Amino acid sequence: VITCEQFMADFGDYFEGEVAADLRREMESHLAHCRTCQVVCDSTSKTVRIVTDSGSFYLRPEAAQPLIAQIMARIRGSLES
Amino acid sequence: MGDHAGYPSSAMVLTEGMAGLLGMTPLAITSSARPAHSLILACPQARVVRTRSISEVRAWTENPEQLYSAAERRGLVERGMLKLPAKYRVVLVLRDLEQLSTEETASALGLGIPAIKSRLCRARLMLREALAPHFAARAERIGL
Repeated sequence: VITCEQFMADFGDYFEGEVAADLRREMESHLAHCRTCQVVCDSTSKTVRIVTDSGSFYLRPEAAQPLIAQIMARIRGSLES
Repeated sequence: MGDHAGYPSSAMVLTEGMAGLLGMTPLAITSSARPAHSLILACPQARVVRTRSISEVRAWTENPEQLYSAAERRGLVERGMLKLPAKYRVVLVLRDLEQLSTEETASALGLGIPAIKSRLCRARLMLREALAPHFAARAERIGL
């Protein structure tokens, strides 16, 4: 039986449905008995749902700026090369 | 929640359990003095993990969307996202808000796919924590 540590190490891939069948079974077995990891899974899923249901919305400049800066740097890099 | 791709129905047992906000103290994973009842949240390649007492974990309400209006939820999401370090926020915006694929996000940011996956996982967990005070059920802490 895997531990919470092991479960969380693969949580991202598990959440995306990208773990191998064997590992998935082990993780689901852990989940069936671990309420804490159940809560983390459940609330993370709800978090994603809340975010995606928010749709597009205006991002304040301080939130948008790092994104714009990174993408612009990427574009400039591709133009220069 | 069952609509999310890859999210198993067996993981949804807890919803009406109630529960919530977690501690935020970053600890090295090598700590041998870890509390007896602790949960380590880590993602692939994460160098720092968070440890917190299981007794502090509270489930969210069954339908958190019903607690606030759409405008209020957008405000909560935006404020929560502002708490994230930029490198995580960027990935969350592109993947979950703009619905880009992992590959498209990696290409847009000039990062590898493993980095995008790792950052997305961290970002979601961090945002979850930021939103938890607003969506966690108010009673019935989980017993040990």
